[in-house]
Amino acid sequence: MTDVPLSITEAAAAMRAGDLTSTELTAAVLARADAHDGALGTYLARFDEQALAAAALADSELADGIDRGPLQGIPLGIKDIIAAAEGPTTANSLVLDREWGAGKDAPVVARLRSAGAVITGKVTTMEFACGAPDPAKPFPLPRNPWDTDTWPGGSSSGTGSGVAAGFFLGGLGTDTGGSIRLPSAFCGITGLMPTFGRVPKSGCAPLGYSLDHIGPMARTAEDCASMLQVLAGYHASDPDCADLPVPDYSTGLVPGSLEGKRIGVDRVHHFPEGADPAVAPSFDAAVSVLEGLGASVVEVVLPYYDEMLAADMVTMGGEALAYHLPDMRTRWEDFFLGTRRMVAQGALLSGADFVQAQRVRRVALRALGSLFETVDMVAVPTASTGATHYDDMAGGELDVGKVFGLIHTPYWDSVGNPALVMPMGFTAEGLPLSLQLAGRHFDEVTLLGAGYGYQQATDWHRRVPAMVADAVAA
Amino acid sequence: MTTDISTFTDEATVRTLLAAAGIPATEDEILKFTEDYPRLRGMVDLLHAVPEARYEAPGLLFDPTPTFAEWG
Repeated sequence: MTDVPLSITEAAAAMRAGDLTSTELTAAVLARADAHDGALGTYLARFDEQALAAAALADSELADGIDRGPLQGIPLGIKDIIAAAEGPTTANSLVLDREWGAGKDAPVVARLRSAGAVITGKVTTMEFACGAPDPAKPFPLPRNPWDTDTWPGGSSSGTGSGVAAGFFLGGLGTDTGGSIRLPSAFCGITGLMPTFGRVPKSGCAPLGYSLDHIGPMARTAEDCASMLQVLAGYHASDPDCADLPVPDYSTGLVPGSLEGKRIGVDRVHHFPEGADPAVAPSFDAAVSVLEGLGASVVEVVLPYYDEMLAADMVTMGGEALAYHLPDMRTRWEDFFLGTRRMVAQGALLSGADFVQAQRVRRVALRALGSLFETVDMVAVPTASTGATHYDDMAGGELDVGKVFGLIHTPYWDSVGNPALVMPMGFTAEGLPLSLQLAGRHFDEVTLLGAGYGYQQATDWHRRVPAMVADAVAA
Repeated sequence: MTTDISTFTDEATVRTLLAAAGIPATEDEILKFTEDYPRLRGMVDLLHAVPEARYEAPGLLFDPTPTFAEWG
Protein backbone atom coordinates (compact mmCIF):
# COMPACT_ATOMS: atom_id res chain seq x y z
CA MET A 1 0.00 0.00 0.00
CA THR A 2 1.26 3.50 -0.89
CA ASP A 3 2.43 5.55 2.08
CA VAL A 4 0.14 8.55 2.39
CA PRO A 5 1.91 11.90 2.86
CA LEU A 6 0.81 13.61 6.03
CA SER A 7 -0.19 16.96 4.59
CA ILE A 8 -1.56 18.65 1.49
CA THR A 9 1.71 20.58 1.17
CA GLU A 10 3.81 17.41 1.27
CA ALA A 11 1.54 15.55 -1.14
CA ALA A 12 1.57 18.48 -3.58
CA ALA A 13 5.37 18.56 -3.49
CA ALA A 14 5.60 14.78 -3.98
CA MET A 15 3.31 14.96 -7.02
CA ARG A 16 5.36 17.71 -8.62
CA ALA A 17 8.60 15.84 -7.90
CA GLY A 18 7.21 12.80 -9.68
CA ASP A 19 7.27 10.69 -6.52
CA LEU A 20 3.51 10.25 -6.28
CA THR A 21 0.47 10.52 -8.50
CA SER A 22 -2.98 11.67 -7.50
CA THR A 23 -4.31 8.32 -8.64
CA GLU A 24 -1.93 6.49 -6.29
CA LEU A 25 -2.73 8.87 -3.46
CA THR A 26 -6.48 8.65 -3.96
CA ALA A 27 -6.42 4.87 -4.21
CA ALA A 28 -4.37 4.68 -1.03
CA VAL A 29 -6.71 6.86 1.04
CA LEU A 30 -9.75 4.98 -0.26
CA ALA A 31 -8.08 1.70 0.72
CA ARG A 32 -7.35 3.10 4.15
CA ALA A 33 -11.03 4.00 4.53
CA ASP A 34 -11.93 0.46 3.41
CA ALA A 35 -9.72 -0.88 6.19
CA HIS A 36 -10.67 1.44 9.03
CA ASP A 37 -13.91 3.34 8.46
CA GLY A 38 -16.00 0.50 9.87
CA ALA A 39 -14.52 1.44 13.24
CA LEU A 40 -14.81 5.22 12.78
CA GLY A 41 -18.08 5.98 11.00
CA THR A 42 -16.51 8.84 9.05
CA TYR A 43 -18.24 8.49 5.69
CA LEU A 44 -21.95 8.80 4.90
CA ALA A 45 -21.39 8.52 1.14
CA ARG A 46 -18.28 7.68 -0.84
CA PHE A 47 -17.63 8.83 -4.40
CA ASP A 48 -14.85 6.34 -5.24
CA GLU A 49 -15.45 6.20 -9.01
CA GLN A 50 -15.77 9.95 -9.43
CA ALA A 51 -12.78 10.54 -7.16
CA LEU A 52 -10.52 8.23 -9.14
CA ALA A 53 -11.65 9.90 -12.38
CA ALA A 54 -10.84 13.32 -10.91
CA ALA A 55 -7.48 12.00 -9.76
CA ALA A 56 -6.67 10.73 -13.25
CA LEU A 57 -7.61 14.11 -14.71
CA ALA A 58 -5.40 15.88 -12.15
CA ASP A 59 -2.49 13.60 -13.12
CA SER A 60 -2.92 14.15 -16.87
CA GLU A 61 -3.22 17.92 -16.43
CA LEU A 62 -0.08 18.07 -14.31
CA ALA A 63 1.73 15.97 -16.93
CA ASP A 64 0.58 18.47 -19.57
CA GLY A 65 1.91 21.38 -17.54
CA ILE A 66 -1.48 22.54 -16.26
CA ASP A 67 -0.85 23.36 -12.61
CA ARG A 68 -3.93 24.55 -10.74
CA GLY A 69 -2.15 24.96 -7.42
CA PRO A 70 -1.53 22.91 -4.28
CA LEU A 71 -5.02 21.41 -4.08
CA GLN A 72 -4.73 19.76 -7.50
CA GLY A 73 -5.13 16.02 -7.11
CA ILE A 74 -5.61 16.23 -3.33
CA PRO A 75 -8.35 14.05 -1.77
CA LEU A 76 -10.78 16.12 0.33
CA GLY A 77 -13.88 15.23 2.34
CA ILE A 78 -17.03 17.35 2.49
CA LYS A 79 -19.22 17.73 5.60
CA ASP A 80 -22.64 16.42 4.65
CA ILE A 81 -24.53 19.65 5.17
CA ILE A 82 -22.77 21.13 2.13
CA ALA A 83 -24.09 20.27 -1.33
CA ALA A 84 -21.93 18.33 -3.78
CA ALA A 85 -23.08 17.26 -7.21
CA GLU A 86 -22.17 13.57 -6.86
CA GLY A 87 -25.05 12.78 -4.57
CA PRO A 88 -27.78 14.06 -2.27
CA THR A 89 -27.05 15.92 0.97
CA THR A 90 -28.52 14.37 4.12
CA ALA A 91 -27.39 16.72 6.92
CA ASN A 92 -27.05 13.40 8.79
CA SER A 93 -30.84 13.44 9.09
CA LEU A 94 -34.00 11.64 8.02
CA VAL A 95 -35.63 15.05 7.65
CA LEU A 96 -33.71 17.01 5.00
CA ASP A 97 -35.45 16.86 1.62
CA ARG A 98 -33.08 14.78 -0.52
CA GLU A 99 -33.99 17.02 -3.48
CA TRP A 100 -32.46 20.04 -1.76
CA GLY A 101 -29.29 20.92 -3.68
CA ALA A 102 -29.46 17.69 -5.66
CA GLY A 103 -26.97 17.60 -8.50
CA LYS A 104 -25.46 20.94 -7.54
CA ASP A 105 -22.19 22.04 -6.01
CA ALA A 106 -22.18 24.63 -3.25
CA PRO A 107 -19.89 27.52 -4.27
CA VAL A 108 -17.16 26.24 -1.92
CA VAL A 109 -17.24 22.78 -3.53
CA ALA A 110 -17.22 24.28 -7.02
CA ARG A 111 -14.15 26.32 -6.08
CA LEU A 112 -12.35 23.24 -4.76
CA ARG A 113 -13.13 21.39 -7.99
CA SER A 114 -11.85 24.27 -10.10
CA ALA A 115 -8.62 24.01 -8.13
CA GLY A 116 -8.35 20.36 -9.17
CA ALA A 117 -9.25 18.85 -5.81
CA VAL A 118 -10.52 15.27 -5.61
CA ILE A 119 -13.80 15.02 -3.68
CA THR A 120 -13.85 11.59 -2.01
CA GLY A 121 -17.25 11.75 -0.37
CA LYS A 122 -19.65 13.22 2.20
CA VAL A 123 -18.84 12.78 5.84
CA THR A 124 -20.58 12.56 9.17
CA THR A 125 -21.91 15.61 10.94
CA MET A 126 -24.08 16.20 13.99
CA GLU A 127 -27.65 16.28 12.67
CA PHE A 128 -28.08 19.64 10.94
CA ALA A 129 -24.77 20.60 12.56
CA CYS A 130 -26.28 20.64 16.07
CA GLY A 131 -27.78 17.29 17.12
CA ALA A 132 -25.55 14.96 19.14
CA PRO A 133 -25.16 11.42 17.74
CA ASP A 134 -28.29 9.37 18.36
CA PRO A 135 -27.77 5.58 18.39
CA ALA A 136 -31.49 5.09 17.67
CA LYS A 137 -31.16 6.69 14.24
CA PRO A 138 -29.86 4.90 11.10
CA PHE A 139 -26.58 6.80 10.78
CA PRO A 140 -23.03 5.77 11.72
CA LEU A 141 -21.87 6.72 15.19
CA PRO A 142 -18.74 8.80 14.58
CA ARG A 143 -15.71 7.69 16.58
CA ASN A 144 -12.40 9.29 17.37
CA PRO A 145 -9.38 7.52 15.83
CA TRP A 146 -7.30 8.36 18.94
CA ASP A 147 -9.71 6.32 21.12
CA THR A 148 -12.77 4.83 19.50
CA ASP A 149 -14.71 4.95 22.80
CA THR A 150 -14.63 8.73 22.45
CA TRP A 151 -16.41 11.24 20.28
CA PRO A 152 -14.44 13.02 17.57
CA GLY A 153 -16.26 16.23 18.50
CA GLY A 154 -18.70 18.12 16.36
CA SER A 155 -20.41 19.13 14.51
CA SER A 156 -17.83 18.50 11.74
CA SER A 157 -17.18 15.06 13.22
CA GLY A 158 -16.37 13.14 10.04
CA THR A 159 -14.06 15.83 8.69
CA GLY A 160 -12.11 15.71 11.94
CA SER A 161 -11.85 11.95 12.14
CA GLY A 162 -11.20 11.60 8.41
CA VAL A 163 -8.24 13.98 8.36
CA ALA A 164 -6.82 12.44 11.55
CA ALA A 165 -7.12 8.93 10.11
CA GLY A 166 -5.79 9.94 6.71
CA PHE A 167 -8.97 9.14 4.76
CA PHE A 168 -8.41 12.48 3.03
CA LEU A 169 -5.80 15.20 3.48
CA GLY A 170 -8.21 18.01 4.18
CA GLY A 171 -11.90 18.73 4.33
CA LEU A 172 -14.66 21.25 4.79
CA GLY A 173 -16.27 21.95 8.12
CA THR A 174 -18.71 24.55 9.34
CA ASP A 175 -18.65 26.52 12.59
CA THR A 176 -21.57 28.16 14.41
CA GLY A 177 -20.56 27.59 18.04
CA GLY A 178 -17.30 25.70 17.55
CA SER A 179 -17.97 23.02 14.98
CA ILE A 180 -14.74 23.35 12.99
CA ARG A 181 -12.59 23.96 16.03
CA LEU A 182 -13.90 21.34 18.46
CA PRO A 183 -13.47 18.30 16.17
CA SER A 184 -10.10 19.69 15.10
CA ALA A 185 -9.14 19.87 18.77
CA PHE A 186 -10.48 16.45 19.71
CA CYS A 187 -8.93 14.78 16.64
CA GLY A 188 -5.51 16.43 16.88
CA ILE A 189 -5.61 18.35 13.60
CA THR A 190 -5.62 21.99 12.48
CA GLY A 191 -8.81 23.90 11.71
CA LEU A 192 -9.62 27.45 10.69
CA MET A 193 -12.85 29.32 11.24
CA PRO A 194 -12.42 32.26 8.84
CA THR A 195 -13.91 35.70 9.44
CA PHE A 196 -17.72 35.68 9.09
CA GLY A 197 -18.47 36.39 5.43
CA ARG A 198 -14.97 35.56 4.16
CA VAL A 199 -16.18 32.29 2.60
CA PRO A 200 -19.63 31.96 0.93
CA LYS A 201 -22.02 29.74 2.84
CA SER A 202 -24.70 29.32 0.23
CA GLY A 203 -25.34 25.70 -0.64
CA CYS A 204 -24.94 24.75 3.03
CA ALA A 205 -27.94 23.83 5.19
CA PRO A 206 -28.02 26.67 7.74
CA LEU A 207 -27.86 26.47 11.52
CA GLY A 208 -27.38 30.16 12.34
CA TYR A 209 -27.64 32.60 9.45
CA SER A 210 -25.52 35.23 11.21
CA LEU A 211 -23.21 32.73 12.90
CA ASP A 212 -22.35 30.09 10.27
CA HIS A 213 -18.81 29.92 8.86
CA ILE A 214 -17.46 27.38 6.35
CA GLY A 215 -13.75 26.68 6.70
CA PRO A 216 -10.88 24.24 6.15
CA MET A 217 -9.74 21.40 8.38
CA ALA A 218 -6.40 19.81 7.55
CA ARG A 219 -3.07 18.74 9.03
CA THR A 220 -1.35 22.13 9.17
CA ALA A 221 -1.85 25.89 9.12
CA GLU A 222 -0.09 25.91 5.75
CA ASP A 223 -2.64 23.42 4.40
CA CYS A 224 -5.48 25.55 5.77
CA ALA A 225 -3.96 28.57 4.01
CA SER A 226 -3.91 26.68 0.70
CA MET A 227 -7.55 25.72 1.14
CA LEU A 228 -8.65 29.21 2.25
CA GLN A 229 -6.95 30.70 -0.82
CA VAL A 230 -9.39 28.72 -2.95
CA LEU A 231 -12.47 29.04 -0.75
CA ALA A 232 -12.39 32.75 0.05
CA GLY A 233 -14.05 35.49 -1.95
CA TYR A 234 -17.34 37.12 -2.75
CA HIS A 235 -20.26 35.12 -4.11
CA ALA A 236 -23.50 36.93 -4.91
CA SER A 237 -25.66 34.03 -3.76
CA ASP A 238 -24.68 34.61 -0.10
CA PRO A 239 -26.04 37.90 1.25
CA ASP A 240 -23.52 37.80 4.09
CA CYS A 241 -20.51 37.31 1.86
CA ALA A 242 -17.94 40.10 2.09
CA ASP A 243 -17.09 41.81 -1.18
CA LEU A 244 -13.46 42.37 -0.20
CA PRO A 245 -10.20 41.47 -1.96
CA VAL A 246 -8.69 38.10 -1.07
CA PRO A 247 -5.05 38.47 0.01
CA ASP A 248 -2.27 36.00 -0.74
CA TYR A 249 -2.39 33.90 2.45
CA SER A 250 1.05 32.44 1.76
CA THR A 251 2.67 35.81 2.50
CA GLY A 252 2.30 35.07 6.21
CA LEU A 253 3.90 31.63 5.97
CA VAL A 254 7.47 32.81 6.37
CA PRO A 255 10.28 32.57 8.95
CA GLY A 256 9.93 35.20 11.64
CA SER A 257 6.16 35.30 11.30
CA LEU A 258 5.81 35.80 15.06
CA GLU A 259 8.53 38.44 15.49
CA GLY A 260 7.07 41.47 17.17
CA LYS A 261 3.56 40.06 17.36
CA ARG A 262 1.59 40.95 20.49
CA ILE A 263 -0.42 38.05 21.90
CA GLY A 264 -3.09 38.40 24.57
CA VAL A 265 -3.85 35.50 26.90
CA ASP A 266 -7.18 35.39 28.75
CA ARG A 267 -6.74 33.29 31.90
CA VAL A 268 -9.97 34.54 33.48
CA HIS A 269 -12.42 32.62 31.29
CA HIS A 270 -10.46 29.65 29.95
CA PHE A 271 -9.26 27.62 32.93
CA PRO A 272 -12.46 26.36 34.58
CA GLU A 273 -12.87 23.91 37.44
CA GLY A 274 -12.91 20.39 36.13
CA ALA A 275 -10.32 21.12 33.44
CA ASP A 276 -8.05 18.24 32.48
CA PRO A 277 -4.79 18.68 34.45
CA ALA A 278 -2.72 18.50 31.25
CA VAL A 279 -4.35 21.56 29.67
CA ALA A 280 -2.68 24.33 31.67
CA PRO A 281 0.91 23.05 31.37
CA SER A 282 0.42 22.25 27.66
CA PHE A 283 -0.98 25.72 27.04
CA ASP A 284 1.80 27.41 29.00
CA ALA A 285 4.36 25.44 26.98
CA ALA A 286 2.67 26.56 23.75
CA VAL A 287 2.74 30.18 24.86
CA SER A 288 6.44 29.81 25.71
CA VAL A 289 7.04 28.59 22.16
CA LEU A 290 5.28 31.66 20.78
CA GLU A 291 7.41 33.91 23.00
CA GLY A 292 10.53 32.08 21.93
CA LEU A 293 9.64 32.87 18.32
CA GLY A 294 9.60 36.57 19.07
CA ALA A 295 6.06 37.30 20.23
CA SER A 296 5.33 39.32 23.34
CA VAL A 297 2.60 38.04 25.64
CA VAL A 298 0.26 40.05 27.86
CA GLU A 299 -2.67 39.09 30.05
CA VAL A 300 -6.03 40.26 28.71
CA VAL A 301 -9.69 39.77 29.56
CA LEU A 302 -12.05 39.20 26.64
CA PRO A 303 -14.86 41.75 26.94
CA TYR A 304 -18.47 40.64 27.40
CA TYR A 305 -17.40 36.99 27.51
CA ASP A 306 -20.48 35.51 29.19
CA GLU A 307 -22.71 37.80 27.15
CA MET A 308 -21.27 36.55 23.86
CA LEU A 309 -21.84 32.94 24.90
CA ALA A 310 -25.45 33.90 25.62
CA ALA A 311 -25.69 35.79 22.32
CA ASP A 312 -24.51 32.72 20.40
CA MET A 313 -27.12 30.56 22.10
CA VAL A 314 -29.98 33.05 21.67
CA THR A 315 -29.09 33.90 18.07
CA MET A 316 -28.73 30.25 17.11
CA GLY A 317 -31.98 29.43 18.90
CA GLY A 318 -33.99 31.94 16.88
CA GLU A 319 -32.30 31.37 13.54
CA ALA A 320 -32.29 27.57 13.73
CA LEU A 321 -35.91 27.27 14.87
CA ALA A 322 -37.11 29.56 12.09
CA TYR A 323 -35.54 27.15 9.60
CA HIS A 324 -36.70 23.91 11.27
CA LEU A 325 -40.11 24.79 12.70
CA PRO A 326 -42.27 23.40 9.85
CA ASP A 327 -40.52 20.03 10.10
CA MET A 328 -40.42 20.05 13.91
CA ARG A 329 -44.20 20.44 13.99
CA THR A 330 -44.82 17.47 11.71
CA ARG A 331 -41.74 15.21 11.95
CA TRP A 332 -40.66 15.66 15.55
CA GLU A 333 -39.79 12.00 16.04
CA ASP A 334 -37.58 11.88 12.94
CA PHE A 335 -35.16 14.37 14.49
CA PHE A 336 -32.31 13.25 16.75
CA LEU A 337 -33.02 13.75 20.46
CA GLY A 338 -30.17 16.25 20.72
CA THR A 339 -31.43 18.29 17.76
CA ARG A 340 -34.86 18.54 19.32
CA ARG A 341 -33.38 19.84 22.58
CA MET A 342 -31.00 22.26 20.89
CA VAL A 343 -33.37 23.74 18.32
CA ALA A 344 -36.73 23.73 20.13
CA GLN A 345 -35.36 25.87 22.94
CA GLY A 346 -35.66 28.68 20.40
CA ALA A 347 -39.39 28.58 21.16
CA LEU A 348 -38.61 29.64 24.72
CA LEU A 349 -37.07 32.90 23.51
CA SER A 350 -38.84 36.04 22.38
CA GLY A 351 -38.26 38.25 19.37
CA ALA A 352 -37.03 40.95 21.74
CA ASP A 353 -34.53 38.48 23.22
CA PHE A 354 -33.16 37.83 19.72
CA VAL A 355 -32.87 41.53 18.88
CA GLN A 356 -31.21 42.24 22.22
CA ALA A 357 -28.58 39.62 21.42
CA GLN A 358 -27.83 41.50 18.20
CA ARG A 359 -27.50 44.80 20.07
CA VAL A 360 -25.11 43.28 22.60
CA ARG A 361 -23.06 41.74 19.76
CA ARG A 362 -22.40 45.27 18.52
CA VAL A 363 -21.45 46.43 22.01
CA ALA A 364 -18.98 43.56 22.25
CA LEU A 365 -17.55 44.35 18.81
CA ARG A 366 -16.78 47.92 19.91
CA ALA A 367 -14.93 46.68 22.98
CA LEU A 368 -13.12 43.90 21.13
CA GLY A 369 -12.00 46.37 18.51
CA SER A 370 -10.30 48.35 21.26
CA LEU A 371 -8.63 45.17 22.55
CA PHE A 372 -7.25 44.40 19.11
CA GLU A 373 -5.57 47.81 19.06
CA THR A 374 -3.37 46.51 21.89
CA VAL A 375 -2.77 42.92 20.68
CA ASP A 376 -2.50 41.21 17.27
CA MET A 377 -4.12 37.99 18.37
CA VAL A 378 -5.52 36.22 21.41
CA ALA A 379 -4.29 32.78 22.56
CA VAL A 380 -6.42 30.42 24.69
CA PRO A 381 -6.98 26.67 24.93
CA THR A 382 -9.63 25.47 22.48
CA ALA A 383 -11.09 23.23 25.17
CA SER A 384 -10.21 22.31 28.74
CA THR A 385 -10.76 18.62 28.06
CA GLY A 386 -9.73 15.90 25.69
CA ALA A 387 -12.32 14.11 23.57
CA THR A 388 -15.60 13.35 25.33
CA HIS A 389 -16.26 9.74 26.25
CA TYR A 390 -19.41 8.24 24.82
CA ASP A 391 -20.50 7.38 28.37
CA ASP A 392 -21.18 11.13 28.74
CA MET A 393 -23.45 11.05 25.69
CA ALA A 394 -25.85 8.28 26.68
CA GLY A 395 -29.20 8.22 24.96
CA GLY A 396 -28.19 10.59 22.20
CA GLU A 397 -27.70 13.67 24.34
CA LEU A 398 -24.62 15.53 25.43
CA ASP A 399 -24.32 16.34 29.10
CA VAL A 400 -24.41 19.97 28.08
CA GLY A 401 -23.27 21.44 31.36
CA LYS A 402 -20.37 19.04 31.72
CA VAL A 403 -19.11 19.17 28.14
CA PHE A 404 -19.81 22.68 26.94
CA GLY A 405 -18.57 24.33 30.12
CA LEU A 406 -15.14 23.07 29.09
CA ILE A 407 -15.25 24.27 25.48
CA HIS A 408 -14.01 27.76 24.59
CA THR A 409 -15.25 28.36 21.07
CA PRO A 410 -18.65 30.13 20.86
CA TYR A 411 -17.34 33.59 21.81
CA TRP A 412 -15.65 33.97 18.42
CA ASP A 413 -18.77 32.95 16.49
CA SER A 414 -20.75 35.75 18.12
CA VAL A 415 -18.19 38.38 17.12
CA GLY A 416 -17.21 36.85 13.75
CA ASN A 417 -13.42 37.00 14.24
CA PRO A 418 -11.25 34.31 12.61
CA ALA A 419 -9.87 31.59 14.87
CA LEU A 420 -7.21 28.95 14.15
CA VAL A 421 -6.80 25.83 16.28
CA MET A 422 -3.76 23.54 16.34
CA PRO A 423 -2.59 20.53 18.37
CA MET A 424 -0.49 21.45 21.43
CA GLY A 425 -0.09 18.20 23.36
CA PHE A 426 -1.97 15.28 24.90
CA THR A 427 -3.84 14.33 28.04
CA ALA A 428 -2.50 11.55 30.25
CA GLU A 429 -4.95 9.27 28.41
CA GLY A 430 -3.38 10.11 25.06
CA LEU A 431 -6.15 12.40 23.78
CA PRO A 432 -5.16 15.51 21.81
CA LEU A 433 -5.18 19.02 23.30
CA SER A 434 -5.48 22.17 21.24
CA LEU A 435 -4.29 25.78 21.12
CA GLN A 436 -6.67 28.44 19.77
CA LEU A 437 -5.44 31.69 18.20
CA ALA A 438 -8.04 34.35 17.33
CA GLY A 439 -7.28 37.39 15.21
CA ARG A 440 -8.68 40.58 13.77
CA HIS A 441 -11.46 40.47 11.22
CA PHE A 442 -10.13 39.56 7.75
CA ASP A 443 -6.55 39.23 9.06
CA GLU A 444 -6.16 35.51 8.38
CA VAL A 445 -2.70 36.25 6.95
CA THR A 446 -1.36 37.12 10.41
CA LEU A 447 -3.22 34.26 12.06
CA LEU A 448 -2.06 31.62 9.59
CA GLY A 449 1.46 33.03 9.77
CA ALA A 450 1.45 32.58 13.54
CA GLY A 451 0.20 29.04 13.13
CA TYR A 452 2.89 28.33 10.56
CA GLY A 453 5.57 29.62 12.90
CA TYR A 454 4.26 27.54 15.80
CA GLN A 455 4.16 24.40 13.67
CA GLN A 456 7.69 24.95 12.35
CA ALA A 457 8.86 24.86 16.00
CA THR A 458 6.71 21.96 17.24
CA ASP A 459 5.58 18.58 15.93
CA TRP A 460 2.26 17.94 17.69
CA HIS A 461 0.47 18.32 14.35
CA ARG A 462 2.53 15.44 12.91
CA ARG A 463 1.32 12.87 15.43
CA VAL A 464 -1.10 10.29 14.06
CA PRO A 465 -3.41 7.82 15.82
CA ALA A 466 -1.91 4.36 16.35
CA MET A 467 -4.64 2.70 14.28
CA VAL A 468 -3.28 4.26 11.06
CA ALA A 469 0.35 4.99 11.97
CA ASP A 470 1.74 2.13 9.87
CA ALA A 471 0.81 3.65 6.51
CA VAL A 472 1.79 7.28 7.00
CA ALA A 473 4.92 8.74 5.38
CA ALA A 474 5.53 11.02 8.37
CA MET B 1 -53.67 46.50 37.76
CA THR B 2 -50.60 44.42 36.86
CA THR B 3 -50.29 40.65 36.88
CA ASP B 4 -48.34 38.84 39.58
CA ILE B 5 -46.03 36.98 37.21
CA SER B 6 -44.36 35.14 40.09
CA THR B 7 -47.34 32.80 40.09
CA PHE B 8 -46.35 31.42 36.70
CA THR B 9 -44.29 28.25 37.06
CA ASP B 10 -41.41 27.43 34.73
CA GLU B 11 -43.26 24.30 33.67
CA ALA B 12 -46.36 26.26 32.73
CA THR B 13 -44.26 28.74 30.79
CA VAL B 14 -42.39 26.01 28.93
CA ARG B 15 -45.55 24.08 28.09
CA THR B 16 -47.30 27.20 26.85
CA LEU B 17 -44.43 28.37 24.68
CA LEU B 18 -43.80 24.95 23.11
CA ALA B 19 -47.52 24.53 22.45
CA ALA B 20 -47.74 28.00 20.94
CA ALA B 21 -44.93 27.03 18.57
CA GLY B 22 -46.72 23.78 17.69
CA ILE B 23 -43.84 21.66 18.96
CA PRO B 24 -45.03 18.20 20.13
CA ALA B 25 -42.35 17.59 22.77
CA THR B 26 -42.68 14.47 24.92
CA GLU B 27 -43.41 14.71 28.64
CA ASP B 28 -39.80 13.74 29.34
CA GLU B 29 -38.56 16.49 27.04
CA ILE B 30 -40.87 19.06 28.63
CA LEU B 31 -39.41 18.10 32.02
CA LYS B 32 -35.89 18.58 30.72
CA PHE B 33 -36.72 21.92 29.09
CA THR B 34 -38.27 22.97 32.40
CA GLU B 35 -35.20 21.96 34.40
CA ASP B 36 -33.01 23.89 32.00
CA TYR B 37 -35.28 26.94 31.74
CA PRO B 38 -33.78 28.93 34.64
CA ARG B 39 -30.31 28.58 33.11
CA LEU B 40 -31.63 29.63 29.69
CA ARG B 41 -33.55 32.56 31.10
CA GLY B 42 -30.52 33.59 33.14
CA MET B 43 -28.41 33.75 30.01
CA VAL B 44 -31.02 35.84 28.21
CA ASP B 45 -31.48 38.19 31.16
CA LEU B 46 -27.71 38.72 31.13
CA LEU B 47 -28.11 40.23 27.65
CA HIS B 48 -30.97 42.49 28.73
CA ALA B 49 -28.84 43.72 31.63
CA VAL B 50 -26.03 45.19 29.51
CA PRO B 51 -26.28 48.94 30.13
CA GLU B 52 -24.08 49.81 27.13
CA ALA B 53 -26.66 48.23 24.84
CA ARG B 54 -29.47 50.60 25.90
CA TYR B 55 -29.23 52.79 22.80
CA GLU B 56 -27.19 50.48 20.57
CA ALA B 57 -28.44 49.41 17.13
CA PRO B 58 -28.65 45.69 16.33
CA GLY B 59 -25.73 44.03 14.59
CA LEU B 60 -27.98 42.66 11.86
CA LEU B 61 -28.92 45.16 9.18
CA PHE B 62 -31.83 45.24 6.74
CA ASP B 63 -30.71 45.83 3.16
CA PRO B 64 -33.63 47.19 1.10
CA THR B 65 -31.68 46.67 -2.16
CA PRO B 66 -30.39 43.11 -1.95
CA THR B 67 -28.68 41.22 -4.76
CA PHE B 68 -30.58 38.08 -5.69
CA ALA B 69 -28.47 35.25 -7.11
CA GLU B 70 -28.70 31.47 -7.10
CA TRP B 71 -25.92 29.05 -6.23
CA GLY B 72 -25.08 25.86 -8.10
